Amino acid sequence: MKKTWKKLLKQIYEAPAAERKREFFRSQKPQPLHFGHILWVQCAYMPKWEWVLSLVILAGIFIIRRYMQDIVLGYVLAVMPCLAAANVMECFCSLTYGMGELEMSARFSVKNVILARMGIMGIENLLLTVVLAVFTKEILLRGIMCLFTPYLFTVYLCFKLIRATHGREGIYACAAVAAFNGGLAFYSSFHWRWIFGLSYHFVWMAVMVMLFLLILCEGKRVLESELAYIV
Amino acid sequence: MELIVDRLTKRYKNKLVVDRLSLHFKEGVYGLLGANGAGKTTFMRMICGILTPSEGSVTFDGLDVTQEEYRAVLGYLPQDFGYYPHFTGRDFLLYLAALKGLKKQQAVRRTEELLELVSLTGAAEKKIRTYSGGMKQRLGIAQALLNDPKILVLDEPTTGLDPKERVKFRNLIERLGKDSIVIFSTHIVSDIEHIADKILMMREGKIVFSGTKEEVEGDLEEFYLETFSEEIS
Repeated sequence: MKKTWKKLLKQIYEAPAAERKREFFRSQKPQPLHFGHILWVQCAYMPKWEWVLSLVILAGIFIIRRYMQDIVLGYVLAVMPCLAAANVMECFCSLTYGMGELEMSARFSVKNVILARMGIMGIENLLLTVVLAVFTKEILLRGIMCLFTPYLFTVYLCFKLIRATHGREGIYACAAVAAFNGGLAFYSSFHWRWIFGLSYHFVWMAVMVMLFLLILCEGKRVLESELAYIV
Repeated sequence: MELIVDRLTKRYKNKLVVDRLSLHFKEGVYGLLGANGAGKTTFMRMICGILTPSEGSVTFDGLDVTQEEYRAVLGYLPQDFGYYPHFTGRDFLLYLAALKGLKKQQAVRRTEELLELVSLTGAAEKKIRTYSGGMKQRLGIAQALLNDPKILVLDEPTTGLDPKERVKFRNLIERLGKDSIVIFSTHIVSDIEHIADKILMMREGKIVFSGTKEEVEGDLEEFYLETFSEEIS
């Protein structure tokens, strides 16, 4: 049928206005939601500066590799704690900015929201670490361990600080920790280069695993204490 | 449609904040009056599933408060709420609509409807940090209505609203109370007088009065002051 005829027929035989639409929709059971939905929502609403930070770090490494090759490892080690602190603060921003109570009353609880954010940040940072490790020309696995360890150490300390401080003071405390760890990591890349040697491979792995387990325990405590703090 | 509160209790160490409340709510507007520290906010948080009760239960048509289906029909406005600094008014509503499970198209349509309802269409693209107190409160009311809730819990909803906005709000609540359960707490007695179908007065975690305006002897404010006269003296 031609489009014009269709259009004319639609105008002549206009469908009647829906009656009792609201009652119908209210009588329906809510559709089930999956965790994938919350992951998607969190990705879409994460502040842009989080993604920009990762791009800036990547851009930095391109520049440094081109003009200041000898400080590539130092630069990468220094930025990992900053990334860690930014990500931890972003994970708990519901509580920092007072959105926790609203999110708690939504279909997805704030716990799921925080876990979704942690998952997204974790995957994004792991990918970034892999890319950075490639650029430091280290053996990939050892490079990841060396870079991820200051990251995990900063995450652990930030979790402890969040539990101790609550609210916006946590931002400043985490920033201070990140600056200190970043400085220490940068210093170690020049003056304690030996700790990045092949013979310390298993030490890095053990430290990384230990930090990961500590983070899991501390993360659970932080979540519980922060949720209790809202109310 | 029935919200059943059964022997709801909340205890913090030695202090009993909510003391074995048992109430049945059907469609209508319920005004909760009480002094500061009476337990109103704690009670409302338990109804919203934010706080776990020490004892007792809250169910809506057989759904327990801990179930996702319960929160799907719930709208809540806290006494005080924050916002992410990078959010505009529209972002705020769209974000909460997504958390409430609304699909994108539905969320966009509903956001526009509610922005118009609370007269914030012009300020929708501005950052929330530039909003006045009244604008922020109106935004909070809008987010509570996103999912067209069957249970609407409002903790001091008229705080910061000017008289014109308050009248608009009262009319809205009256309309919603026809097919939803609306529970709101306030210190403004005239709000209760104008819109509440049933008045609940709370003291030290207990309901000391439950009835309609007609059952109150004389002026509601005087009745309230008499009921709480021991605390004043």
